[in-house]
Amino acid sequence: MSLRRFTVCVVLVVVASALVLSAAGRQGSRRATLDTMLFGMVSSAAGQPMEGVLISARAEGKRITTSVYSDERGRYYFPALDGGQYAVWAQAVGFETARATFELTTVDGESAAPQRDFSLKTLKDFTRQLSGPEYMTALPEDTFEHRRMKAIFRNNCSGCHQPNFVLQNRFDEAGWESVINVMERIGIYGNAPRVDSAPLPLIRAHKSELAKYLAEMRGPGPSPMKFQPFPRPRGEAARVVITEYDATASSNTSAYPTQDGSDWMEGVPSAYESRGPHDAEVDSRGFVWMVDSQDNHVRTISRLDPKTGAIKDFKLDQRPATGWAMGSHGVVIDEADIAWFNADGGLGKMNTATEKLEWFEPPKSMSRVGGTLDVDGKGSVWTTTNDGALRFDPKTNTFQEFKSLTPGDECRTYGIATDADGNGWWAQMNCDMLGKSDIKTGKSLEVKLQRRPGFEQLATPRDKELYDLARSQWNSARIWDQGPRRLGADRKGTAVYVANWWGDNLAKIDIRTNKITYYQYPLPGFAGVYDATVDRNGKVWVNLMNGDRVAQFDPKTETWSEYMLPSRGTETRFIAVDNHKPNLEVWTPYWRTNRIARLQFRTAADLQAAQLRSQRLRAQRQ
Amino acid sequence: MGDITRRNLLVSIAAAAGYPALFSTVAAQTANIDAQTVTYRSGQVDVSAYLVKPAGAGPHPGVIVVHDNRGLNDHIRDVARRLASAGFVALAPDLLSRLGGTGQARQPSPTAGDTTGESNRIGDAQAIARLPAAAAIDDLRAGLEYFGKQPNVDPARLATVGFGWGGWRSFTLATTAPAIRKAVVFYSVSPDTGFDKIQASVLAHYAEWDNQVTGNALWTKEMMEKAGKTFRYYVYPRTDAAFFNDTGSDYVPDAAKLAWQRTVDFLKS
Repeated sequence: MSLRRFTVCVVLVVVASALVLSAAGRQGSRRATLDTMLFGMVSSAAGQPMEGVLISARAEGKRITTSVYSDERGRYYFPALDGGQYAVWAQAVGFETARATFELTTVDGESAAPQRDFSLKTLKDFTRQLSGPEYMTALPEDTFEHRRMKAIFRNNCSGCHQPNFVLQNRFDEAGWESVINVMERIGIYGNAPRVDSAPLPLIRAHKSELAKYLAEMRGPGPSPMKFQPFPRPRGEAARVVITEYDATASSNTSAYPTQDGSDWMEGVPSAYESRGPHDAEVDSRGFVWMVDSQDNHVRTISRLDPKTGAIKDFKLDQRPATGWAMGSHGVVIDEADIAWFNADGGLGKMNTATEKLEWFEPPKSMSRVGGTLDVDGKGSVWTTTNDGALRFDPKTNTFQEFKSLTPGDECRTYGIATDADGNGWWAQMNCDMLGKSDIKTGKSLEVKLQRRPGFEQLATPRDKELYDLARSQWNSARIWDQGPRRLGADRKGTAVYVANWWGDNLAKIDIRTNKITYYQYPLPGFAGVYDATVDRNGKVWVNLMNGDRVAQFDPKTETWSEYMLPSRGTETRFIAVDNHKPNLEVWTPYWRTNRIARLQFRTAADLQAAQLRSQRLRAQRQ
Repeated sequence: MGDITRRNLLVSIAAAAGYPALFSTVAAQTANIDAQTVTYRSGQVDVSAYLVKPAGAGPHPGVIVVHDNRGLNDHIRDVARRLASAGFVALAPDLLSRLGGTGQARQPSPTAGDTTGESNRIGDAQAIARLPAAAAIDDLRAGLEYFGKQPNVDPARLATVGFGWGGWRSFTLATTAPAIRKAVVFYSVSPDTGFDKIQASVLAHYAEWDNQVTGNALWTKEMMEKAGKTFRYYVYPRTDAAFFNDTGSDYVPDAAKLAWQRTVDFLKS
């Protein structure tokens, strides 16, 4: 599907004046006020207004970055910001990052200077600024072998990390082979490869041809890749306000990553500086509860206060005590504001009001608690296991197990969701299947996904022989696999929505008939549909790990709306909707760079109001 | 039905089928074999090993049994006895000897205040993960040298059989020890290099659900063919790693029986 057909639908929401206006006091205050507003104009060096340019602002000494996009006339408007010394930068692919610093005070202050205009200079080599899908789209498909190798690269080298993290580098064939020698054994958490461990079989089997292919595409010599930046955000997508909060590293709670992806010219950051926040949910008071999937000594779950950016850590000690915190991965919050999370094979419980922590362990006859969770309509907590799913009844503190029909060791389990009928669905990622409970009988069912159409034709006889032996293995997959990763259910309807990672689509499954409808993500280049959640209005939100994007799918109109995150290398693995707010807000943690982003959505009317205020402020200064 | 009774029953079934105690516990006193614990030197280390001999002066073909990541336990000793009852001299080294031996491995430094030494005891799987890969190969090579000097062992007919963790070592030993004429690997990958140095024919048994290991069979086959070596592998449907271990939860009797028959046939060929 072409970019032109990528429809941006207009969502009519109540005017979100709170995004632009603040009820705080005015004169002399450094808190956000009506008039601590930053606005300006972005143009090219030739003086042409530029639409869809990202402008970001970060107050000195603070760990919060606010970003907006310029509109069709090149104008941008920030929401009310706290007063203070700010660094502001503007960036677009193909242009050098422009920077400025200034003091933001209330308009009645002497030094008020809320307008900052930027002029962007073109950048000849903009490849390091590109997002993953832009790199993938540049890989040629002119021959059978190019198409085949692109598919193999896609399904073996862009599952643990974004493709632009790989393709921003250039090596000769020997260099690429050395890299793949590490990649075939290293785990996603960076555990040191052992010479006697089993390599990922698909990567090993394709290693030589992958090294040759990558040396052709990103070697020292000429490359057939043709780089073309995607269109910049416009319309609704350009009205979003995105706030990024930095989390401290769990390995050093006074440290933050120095390269956090906020300057696109630096390329995709390494995950080794600081990483970890995997899932996050918002309670009714607006606090964000995050779990850290990196082994550490300080946090099993942490709480972010979005008003201040302060993070408070909570630790469940390993049993027996070792000094390490219990490890976690997923979190869900029920209607009583209880946060449930997995912890070292058990189920953690955090009363978000009293901050009391508890831990429940399944009986030894059952599987251990896995890394993803959901709460059904009756308040039972569902978690994945390697063999299927567990249902925990908080009233009796008892577990019930549902085992996958096809064994977990073969298929693995990742995401989980509970539907309107109270049944659990779990993704068996390596087998392109969904497990499903039948709570009436206590048994399990399974639903099989179709292969990605057209990709069997790219497999050679050797590929097929290999695929008979070596099935998909989390982040290394056969070229025709869908890779159901995480999922969300519409509790008011009859659908579950499955994020098919390798298929880069959303599969809508009717929970009564098991009929499956596939909705391909329209952006070319494998943005990577990772997680799905359904908001209170029945819209489906997905995060796109490889694309530094999130998107909304409207099942009624079958259209997508896309929002580009302000940073490169975000590597998001979860998406949450704050359904408590009058205007929905969306959150997504950046696993790679230890940050978390909040998206707030402005209407055209909001922007008009902002424009009127900016005109008034300009008039007051003259 | 008790476990031992079940095994004895299986022995009877196997014998009736014509296989000499193929997939069940073999008691030395009833199988006309001689089993003993021996010690051999590997550099500065004494390596303990389980040595089992069949009746008769020999010389018999010799098989080194390389244990999995649980160490030299009853199951591995039983495999050695089964080999002896099939006519092989079997040596099963305890490759945890460097850390105190299977079931005895300890942390390098005792916990302060511990007078019993129990608090620094660690599990065999945890201990084995700390062993440098090269150390186990050194200990196996020394075992091979010791083994070849045994009067009832035919030094021209030496083989290895390895399981899981020991499978990689069984295969790797063959790349460094030309005296090895046959190597058997249960659910384990090959070394990355050294195929051109292998003098042995290699037989591999893989479990269908042991995807990450089994998936590497094609690459191994290609490497062996490129080096002009003999490599045959079998994949056992609806099994996981350790399907051969009749003391574990992943034991699959039919698959284990077939794998054992193929192993014995291969070693005798």
